Amino acid sequence: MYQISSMEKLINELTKLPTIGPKTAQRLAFYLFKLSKSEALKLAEAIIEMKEKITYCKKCFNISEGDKCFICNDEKRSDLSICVVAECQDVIAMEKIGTFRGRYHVLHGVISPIDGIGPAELKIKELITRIKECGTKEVILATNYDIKGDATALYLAREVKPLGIKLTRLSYGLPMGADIEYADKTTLLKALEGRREF
Amino acid sequence: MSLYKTDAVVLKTHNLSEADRIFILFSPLYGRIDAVARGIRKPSSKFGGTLEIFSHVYLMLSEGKNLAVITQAELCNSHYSLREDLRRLACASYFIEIVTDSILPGQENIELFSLVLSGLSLLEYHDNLDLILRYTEIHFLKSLGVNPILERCLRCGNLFTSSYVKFFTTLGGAFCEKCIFPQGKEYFTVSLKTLNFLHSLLKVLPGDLEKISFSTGINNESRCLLRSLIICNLGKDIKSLKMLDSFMEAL
Repeated sequence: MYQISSMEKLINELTKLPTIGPKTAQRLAFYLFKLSKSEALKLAEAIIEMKEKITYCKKCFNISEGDKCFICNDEKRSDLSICVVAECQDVIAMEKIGTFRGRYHVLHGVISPIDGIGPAELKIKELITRIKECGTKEVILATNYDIKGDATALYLAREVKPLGIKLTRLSYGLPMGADIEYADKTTLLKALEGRREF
Repeated sequence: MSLYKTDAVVLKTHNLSEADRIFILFSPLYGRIDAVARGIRKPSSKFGGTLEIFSHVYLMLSEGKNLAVITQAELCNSHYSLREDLRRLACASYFIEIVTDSILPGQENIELFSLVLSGLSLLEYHDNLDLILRYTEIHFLKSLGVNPILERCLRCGNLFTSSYVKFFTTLGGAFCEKCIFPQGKEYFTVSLKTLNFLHSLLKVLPGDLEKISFSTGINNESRCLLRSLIICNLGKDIKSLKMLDSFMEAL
């Protein structure tokens, strides 16, 4: 298109990124072209460094710069309580709470029958082995409250409950600051079912 | 930008950018609608838990360039019980997948829409999931215009007399033992009881499904036959089948 193969190559590579279409890729490519060489190198080096250093924790499958991530290396935390999340980003969200002293297990996806993603594609077998080896007392399911999150939670319940371990799931209902008037009936029903003594 | 209202069933979702989500919806009058709900993934979204897969919703949409935009949504039935049982969820996912693969934008199909609503409700509460799957499968084929010939020979038109016949999925029917059947085409050997079972499923009302009795053998034969017909007509494999079979066997 531009008769400049290096520019076309960059646009093609940028188009492969999620949510980046051809127009955005073109805009980003021209932005990168206008950057100074040192700025462009910093970006390239950051990508290379990330690819070389970051791997998955062998224990919890969160992102890590070594065999074990900083959470699994933290001796103040224990495996007695394991919070199961779908993606690495969910660990970051949960860590914002700042009070959870257990560890995590990242499944790297959720069960989605309609997309053909089953339990074998996730880190479920590794979770069961970990629970048995570490003497875990509680497994907290922190999957989304949607069809895929529910399917994953149901499957995990089937696998974990026979081990005699306490299994809990994050509570759900009205979000903080929400108007009851605008809540849908499923959310309201679940909020009513999960009410607590005040 | 014109606004329109319709009821619809949510078939599939994909996340888009920071907090948006794309929906594949099935409307009785407009067929497949690809729509976007802005900001739906934020906890403060006005849509809340309204737009979940399997939900029957009443929507207000505005026409967009590529995608319609969902401006209001009201929940009619969330079919929530499907989310509380892995087997029911796998069955509903399979049903929704074949429906998603068969509908087109702008194509009115009130019969299929009614089947989707009744099928999801039956899968929610009925105890015999195999029976409901066979019922939804054969009525799904009927709504596509595929009416397999279940009583008579495709060639001579006579009623079947033998216990077993050769059913050709690509031809949508079977041949009796007296007629020469086409060579080189794939066929199933099915019992007459299976064909009678399928025929009775086509005539029965959802409320009378309890009255139909069938053996495991009939269920297995009709499952293979119907799946083969569906795959043949959709022209593609069904992703959810592997999981459906594993959950139906294991649980």
